[in-house]
Amino acid sequence: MKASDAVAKLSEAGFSAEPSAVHETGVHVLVTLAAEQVRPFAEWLKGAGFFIDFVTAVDVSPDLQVIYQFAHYDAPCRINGRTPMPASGTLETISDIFQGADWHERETRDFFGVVFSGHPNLTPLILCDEDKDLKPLLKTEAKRKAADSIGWG
Amino acid sequence: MKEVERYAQSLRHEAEAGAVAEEGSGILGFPLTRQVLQVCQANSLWPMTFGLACCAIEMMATGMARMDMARYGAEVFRPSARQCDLLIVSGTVTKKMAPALMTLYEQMPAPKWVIAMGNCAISGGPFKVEENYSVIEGVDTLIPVDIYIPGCPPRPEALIEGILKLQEKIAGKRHPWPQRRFKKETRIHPID
Repeated sequence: MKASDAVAKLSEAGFSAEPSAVHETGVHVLVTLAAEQVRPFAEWLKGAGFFIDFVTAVDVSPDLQVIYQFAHYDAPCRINGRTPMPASGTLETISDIFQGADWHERETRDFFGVVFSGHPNLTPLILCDEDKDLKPLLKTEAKRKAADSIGWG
Repeated sequence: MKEVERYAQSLRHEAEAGAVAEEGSGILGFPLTRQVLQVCQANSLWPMTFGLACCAIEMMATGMARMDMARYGAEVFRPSARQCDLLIVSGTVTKKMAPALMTLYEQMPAPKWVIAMGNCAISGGPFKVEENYSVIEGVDTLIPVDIYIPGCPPRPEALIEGILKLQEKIAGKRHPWPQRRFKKETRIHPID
Protein backbone atom coordinates (compact mmCIF):
# COMPACT_ATOMS: atom_id res chain seq x y z
CA MET A 1 0.00 0.00 0.00
CA LYS A 2 1.33 3.42 -0.92
CA ALA A 3 1.58 6.01 1.80
CA SER A 4 -0.56 8.42 -0.22
CA ASP A 5 -3.41 5.89 -0.38
CA ALA A 6 -3.21 4.86 3.25
CA VAL A 7 -4.82 7.99 4.72
CA ALA A 8 -7.84 7.75 2.41
CA LYS A 9 -8.31 4.04 2.99
CA LEU A 10 -7.93 4.33 6.75
CA SER A 11 -10.45 7.21 6.85
CA GLU A 12 -12.81 5.11 4.73
CA ALA A 13 -12.50 2.30 7.28
CA GLY A 14 -13.52 4.73 10.03
CA PHE A 15 -10.21 5.68 11.66
CA SER A 16 -9.14 9.28 12.18
CA ALA A 17 -5.99 9.31 10.05
CA GLU A 18 -3.90 12.29 9.01
CA PRO A 19 -0.85 12.50 6.75
CA SER A 20 2.50 13.37 8.27
CA ALA A 21 5.71 14.88 6.88
CA VAL A 22 7.85 11.76 6.84
CA HIS A 23 11.17 13.60 6.72
CA GLU A 24 10.32 15.37 9.96
CA THR A 25 8.50 12.70 11.94
CA GLY A 26 9.75 9.46 10.39
CA VAL A 27 6.20 8.19 9.78
CA HIS A 28 3.81 8.67 6.86
CA VAL A 29 0.44 8.43 8.63
CA LEU A 30 -0.75 9.34 12.11
CA VAL A 31 -3.85 7.67 13.53
CA THR A 32 -5.56 8.68 16.76
CA LEU A 33 -7.55 5.81 18.17
CA ALA A 34 -10.13 5.26 20.85
CA ALA A 35 -9.34 2.36 23.16
CA GLU A 36 -11.97 0.07 21.61
CA GLN A 37 -10.67 0.80 18.09
CA VAL A 38 -7.27 -0.77 18.70
CA ARG A 39 -8.23 -4.31 17.74
CA PRO A 40 -10.24 -3.37 14.59
CA PHE A 41 -7.30 -1.14 13.61
CA ALA A 42 -4.83 -3.99 14.01
CA GLU A 43 -7.07 -6.38 12.10
CA TRP A 44 -7.45 -3.89 9.26
CA LEU A 45 -3.66 -3.44 9.04
CA LYS A 46 -3.12 -7.20 9.12
CA GLY A 47 -5.46 -7.54 6.12
CA ALA A 48 -3.64 -4.73 4.28
CA GLY A 49 -0.25 -6.44 4.61
CA PHE A 50 1.33 -4.41 7.39
CA PHE A 51 3.63 -5.73 10.10
CA ILE A 52 4.11 -4.44 13.62
CA ASP A 53 7.22 -2.47 14.45
CA PHE A 54 6.79 -1.75 18.13
CA VAL A 55 4.38 -1.03 20.95
CA THR A 56 5.31 1.45 23.64
CA ALA A 57 3.85 4.26 25.73
CA VAL A 58 4.55 7.87 26.66
CA ASP A 59 3.69 9.22 30.08
CA VAL A 60 1.93 12.54 29.49
CA SER A 61 -0.99 14.33 31.08
CA PRO A 62 -3.91 13.93 31.18
CA ASP A 63 -3.69 10.33 29.94
CA LEU A 64 -0.80 8.00 29.23
CA GLN A 65 -0.53 7.49 25.46
CA VAL A 66 0.01 3.97 24.14
CA ILE A 67 1.80 3.99 20.77
CA TYR A 68 1.62 1.32 18.06
CA GLN A 69 3.83 1.57 15.01
CA PHE A 70 3.33 -0.47 11.84
CA ALA A 71 5.20 -0.64 8.54
CA HIS A 72 4.57 -2.28 5.18
CA TYR A 73 6.50 -4.95 3.30
CA ASP A 74 5.95 -3.75 -0.28
CA ALA A 75 6.01 0.05 -0.22
CA PRO A 76 7.46 2.53 2.25
CA CYS A 77 4.51 3.26 4.53
CA ARG A 78 4.91 3.71 8.25
CA ILE A 79 1.81 4.18 10.38
CA ASN A 80 1.85 5.47 13.94
CA GLY A 81 -1.27 4.77 15.98
CA ARG A 82 -1.80 6.12 19.45
CA THR A 83 -4.53 5.79 21.98
CA PRO A 84 -4.98 7.42 25.38
CA MET A 85 -5.07 4.80 28.11
CA PRO A 86 -8.62 4.44 29.47
CA ALA A 87 -9.24 5.03 33.18
CA SER A 88 -9.42 1.28 33.77
CA GLY A 89 -5.70 1.03 32.86
CA THR A 90 -6.55 -1.85 30.55
CA LEU A 91 -6.30 -2.21 26.78
CA GLU A 92 -7.15 -5.23 24.69
CA THR A 93 -4.17 -7.21 23.45
CA ILE A 94 -3.31 -7.41 19.77
CA SER A 95 -0.80 -10.23 20.31
CA ASP A 96 -3.21 -12.76 18.79
CA ILE A 97 -3.40 -10.66 15.60
CA PHE A 98 0.27 -9.69 15.42
CA GLN A 99 2.38 -12.23 17.27
CA GLY A 100 5.24 -9.72 17.27
CA ALA A 101 3.30 -7.53 19.70
CA ASP A 102 3.55 -10.18 22.42
CA TRP A 103 6.89 -9.14 23.92
CA HIS A 104 6.29 -5.44 23.26
CA GLU A 105 3.12 -5.59 25.30
CA ARG A 106 4.93 -7.36 28.11
CA GLU A 107 7.63 -4.69 28.00
CA THR A 108 5.05 -1.89 28.04
CA ARG A 109 3.40 -3.51 31.05
CA ASP A 110 6.82 -3.70 32.75
CA PHE A 111 7.71 -0.06 32.21
CA PHE A 112 4.34 1.74 32.26
CA GLY A 113 1.90 -0.65 33.96
CA VAL A 114 -0.44 -0.86 30.96
CA VAL A 115 -2.43 -4.09 31.34
CA PHE A 116 -3.23 -5.84 28.06
CA SER A 117 -6.33 -7.95 28.65
CA GLY A 118 -6.41 -11.26 26.83
CA HIS A 119 -2.62 -11.49 26.62
CA PRO A 120 -1.63 -15.15 27.02
CA ASN A 121 1.46 -14.58 29.15
CA LEU A 122 1.67 -11.11 30.70
CA THR A 123 4.68 -11.85 32.92
CA PRO A 124 7.61 -9.43 33.29
CA LEU A 125 9.88 -9.50 30.25
CA ILE A 126 12.73 -7.30 31.42
CA LEU A 127 12.18 -6.57 35.11
CA CYS A 128 12.90 -9.23 37.70
CA ASP A 129 9.90 -10.83 39.41
CA GLU A 130 10.00 -8.85 42.62
CA ASP A 131 10.05 -5.52 40.72
CA LYS A 132 7.17 -6.42 38.47
CA ASP A 133 5.01 -3.51 39.65
CA LEU A 134 7.80 -0.92 39.70
CA LYS A 135 6.76 0.93 36.48
CA PRO A 136 10.14 2.66 36.24
CA LEU A 137 9.41 4.86 33.20
CA LEU A 138 6.40 6.65 34.70
CA LYS A 139 7.24 10.29 35.36
CA THR A 140 6.76 12.32 38.49
CA GLU A 141 4.00 14.91 38.49
CA ALA A 142 6.57 17.72 38.18
CA LYS A 143 8.22 16.24 35.10
CA ARG A 144 5.08 15.13 33.27
CA LYS A 145 4.20 17.25 30.24
CA ALA A 146 0.88 17.85 28.54
CA ALA A 147 0.03 15.61 25.58
CA ASP A 148 -0.61 18.66 23.39
CA SER A 149 2.82 20.16 24.03
CA ILE A 150 4.51 16.85 23.12
CA GLY A 151 2.47 16.42 19.95
CA TRP A 152 3.49 13.37 17.99
CA GLY A 153 7.11 13.82 18.99
CA MET B 1 15.62 -8.14 46.95
CA LYS B 2 15.41 -10.12 50.19
CA GLU B 3 15.81 -13.49 48.51
CA VAL B 4 18.95 -12.38 46.68
CA GLU B 5 20.38 -10.94 49.90
CA ARG B 6 19.81 -14.21 51.73
CA TYR B 7 21.52 -16.04 48.87
CA ALA B 8 24.49 -13.65 49.03
CA GLN B 9 24.71 -14.13 52.80
CA SER B 10 24.86 -17.90 52.49
CA LEU B 11 27.56 -17.63 49.82
CA ARG B 12 29.65 -15.39 52.10
CA HIS B 13 29.34 -17.89 54.96
CA GLU B 14 30.34 -20.71 52.64
CA ALA B 15 33.36 -18.78 51.41
CA GLU B 16 34.50 -18.09 54.97
CA ALA B 17 34.09 -21.73 55.97
CA GLY B 18 35.99 -22.78 52.83
CA ALA B 19 38.89 -20.46 53.65
CA VAL B 20 39.20 -21.99 57.13
CA ALA B 21 39.16 -25.52 55.76
CA GLU B 22 41.78 -24.67 53.15
CA GLU B 23 44.21 -23.39 55.79
CA GLY B 24 45.44 -26.87 56.39
CA SER B 25 44.10 -30.25 57.21
CA GLY B 26 45.42 -33.52 55.80
CA ILE B 27 48.16 -33.20 53.23
CA LEU B 28 47.62 -29.44 52.99
CA GLY B 29 48.96 -29.19 56.52
CA PHE B 30 52.52 -29.35 55.16
CA PRO B 31 53.78 -25.91 54.07
CA LEU B 32 55.73 -27.34 51.11
CA THR B 33 52.78 -29.23 49.64
CA ARG B 34 50.67 -26.15 50.06
CA GLN B 35 53.24 -23.98 48.28
CA VAL B 36 53.58 -26.41 45.38
CA LEU B 37 49.82 -26.56 45.02
CA GLN B 38 49.49 -22.80 45.14
CA VAL B 39 52.13 -22.31 42.44
CA CYS B 40 50.26 -24.81 40.26
CA GLN B 41 46.95 -23.08 40.85
CA ALA B 42 48.38 -19.62 40.14
CA ASN B 43 49.97 -20.69 36.87
CA SER B 44 46.88 -22.43 35.55
CA LEU B 45 43.81 -20.28 36.07
CA TRP B 46 40.76 -21.37 34.09
CA PRO B 47 38.39 -18.43 33.62
CA MET B 48 34.75 -18.81 32.75
CA THR B 49 33.38 -17.76 29.35
CA PHE B 50 31.09 -15.23 30.94
CA GLY B 51 30.69 -11.80 29.37
CA LEU B 52 28.10 -9.37 30.70
CA ALA B 53 28.75 -6.09 28.87
CA CYS B 54 31.37 -4.08 26.99
CA CYS B 55 34.13 -5.18 29.41
CA ALA B 56 33.71 -8.63 27.87
CA ILE B 57 35.03 -7.24 24.58
CA GLU B 58 38.23 -6.24 26.34
CA MET B 59 38.32 -9.66 27.99
CA MET B 60 38.11 -11.31 24.56
CA ALA B 61 40.87 -9.03 23.28
CA THR B 62 42.98 -10.11 26.25
CA GLY B 63 42.58 -13.72 25.22
CA MET B 64 43.48 -13.07 21.59
CA ALA B 65 46.93 -13.08 19.99
CA ARG B 66 47.98 -9.46 20.56
CA MET B 67 47.60 -9.46 24.33
CA ASP B 68 47.55 -13.23 24.84
CA MET B 69 46.65 -14.21 28.38
CA ALA B 70 48.23 -17.57 27.60
CA ARG B 71 51.58 -16.02 28.47
CA TYR B 72 50.49 -16.18 32.10
CA GLY B 73 48.62 -19.46 31.94
CA ALA B 74 45.09 -18.07 32.11
CA GLU B 75 43.83 -18.64 28.58
CA VAL B 76 41.61 -21.71 28.94
CA PHE B 77 38.15 -20.12 28.88
CA ARG B 78 35.64 -22.82 29.77
CA PRO B 79 31.93 -22.63 28.92
CA SER B 80 30.97 -24.59 32.04
CA ALA B 81 31.17 -23.29 35.58
CA ARG B 82 32.12 -26.75 36.78
CA GLN B 83 35.42 -26.61 34.88
CA CYS B 84 36.47 -23.13 36.04
CA ASP B 85 38.26 -21.65 38.99
CA LEU B 86 38.18 -17.98 37.97
CA LEU B 87 35.06 -15.90 37.47
CA ILE B 88 35.75 -12.61 35.67
CA VAL B 89 32.67 -10.47 36.23
CA SER B 90 33.10 -8.41 33.08
CA GLY B 91 30.28 -5.91 33.00
CA THR B 92 27.02 -4.68 34.46
CA VAL B 93 25.18 -7.03 36.79
CA THR B 94 21.46 -6.35 36.72
CA LYS B 95 19.02 -7.43 39.41
CA LYS B 96 17.59 -9.95 36.99
CA MET B 97 21.05 -11.39 36.29
CA ALA B 98 22.07 -11.55 39.96
CA PRO B 99 20.56 -14.98 40.82
CA ALA B 100 22.12 -16.51 37.68
CA LEU B 101 25.51 -15.05 38.54
CA MET B 102 25.37 -16.42 42.07
CA THR B 103 24.30 -19.85 40.83
CA LEU B 104 27.27 -19.91 38.44
CA TYR B 105 29.60 -18.91 41.27
CA GLU B 106 28.15 -21.65 43.44
CA GLN B 107 28.63 -24.22 40.67
CA MET B 108 32.36 -23.55 40.46
CA PRO B 109 34.44 -26.09 42.38
CA ALA B 110 36.72 -24.75 45.14
CA PRO B 111 39.27 -23.27 45.24
CA LYS B 112 37.80 -20.42 43.21
CA TRP B 113 38.51 -16.75 42.71
CA VAL B 114 36.55 -13.76 41.45
CA ILE B 115 37.76 -10.70 39.53
CA ALA B 116 35.42 -7.69 39.41
CA MET B 117 36.33 -6.15 36.07
CA GLY B 118 35.33 -2.56 35.36
CA ASN B 119 33.45 0.12 37.24
CA CYS B 120 30.03 -1.52 36.81
CA ALA B 121 31.12 -4.68 38.55
CA ILE B 122 32.95 -2.72 41.24
CA SER B 123 30.26 -0.21 42.20
CA GLY B 124 27.58 0.08 39.53
CA GLY B 125 29.75 2.56 37.62
CA PRO B 126 27.75 4.94 35.43
CA PHE B 127 24.52 3.29 36.60
CA LYS B 128 25.05 4.32 40.23
CA VAL B 129 22.60 7.21 39.98
CA GLU B 130 19.46 8.15 41.87
CA GLU B 131 17.17 6.84 39.12
CA ASN B 132 18.82 3.43 39.01
CA TYR B 133 16.29 0.68 39.58
CA SER B 134 17.83 -2.36 37.92
CA VAL B 135 21.60 -2.50 38.41
CA ILE B 136 23.44 -4.12 41.33
CA GLU B 137 25.81 -1.52 42.78
CA GLY B 138 28.88 -3.65 43.23
CA VAL B 139 29.13 -7.39 42.61
CA ASP B 140 30.82 -7.74 46.02
CA THR B 141 27.38 -7.34 47.56
CA LEU B 142 26.57 -10.74 45.97
CA ILE B 143 29.74 -12.83 45.97
CA PRO B 144 33.21 -12.49 47.54
CA VAL B 145 35.62 -10.62 45.23
CA ASP B 146 39.40 -11.10 45.21
CA ILE B 147 40.62 -8.50 42.70
CA TYR B 148 39.08 -5.21 41.54
CA ILE B 149 40.12 -3.79 38.14
CA PRO B 150 38.96 -0.19 37.68
CA GLY B 151 38.27 1.24 34.23
CA CYS B 152 35.36 1.82 31.92
CA PRO B 153 36.21 -0.55 30.41
CA PRO B 154 39.71 -1.48 31.63
CA ARG B 155 42.28 -2.00 28.88
CA PRO B 156 43.48 -5.57 28.26
CA GLU B 157 46.75 -4.68 29.99
CA ALA B 158 44.74 -3.86 33.09
CA LEU B 159 43.05 -7.26 33.02
CA ILE B 160 46.44 -8.95 32.66
CA GLU B 161 47.68 -6.89 35.60
CA GLY B 162 44.63 -8.07 37.55
CA ILE B 163 45.48 -11.67 36.76
CA LEU B 164 49.09 -11.11 37.81
CA LYS B 165 47.81 -9.60 41.08
CA LEU B 166 45.60 -12.64 41.56
CA GLN B 167 48.57 -14.92 40.99
CA GLU B 168 50.44 -12.87 43.56
CA LYS B 169 47.56 -13.36 45.97
CA ILE B 170 47.45 -17.12 45.37
CA ALA B 171 51.17 -17.93 45.24
CA GLY B 172 52.49 -15.20 47.49
CA LYS B 173 54.69 -13.46 44.93
CA ARG B 174 54.52 -11.78 41.56
CA HIS B 175 55.52 -13.98 38.62
CA PRO B 176 55.72 -17.26 40.54
CA TRP B 177 58.00 -20.00 39.20
CA PRO B 178 58.34 -20.90 36.29
CA GLN B 179 57.35 -17.48 34.94
CA ARG B 180 60.37 -15.53 33.79
CA ARG B 181 61.69 -12.95 36.21
CA PHE B 182 62.50 -9.59 34.72
CA LYS B 183 65.15 -7.19 35.84
CA LYS B 184 63.71 -4.07 37.41
CA GLU B 185 64.36 -1.79 34.45
CA THR B 186 62.78 -4.19 31.93
CA ARG B 187 59.42 -3.10 30.56
CA ILE B 188 57.11 -5.96 31.36
CA HIS B 189 54.43 -5.44 28.70
CA PRO B 190 55.99 -3.83 25.63
CA ILE B 191 53.12 -3.26 23.23
CA ASP B 192 54.73 -1.17 20.49
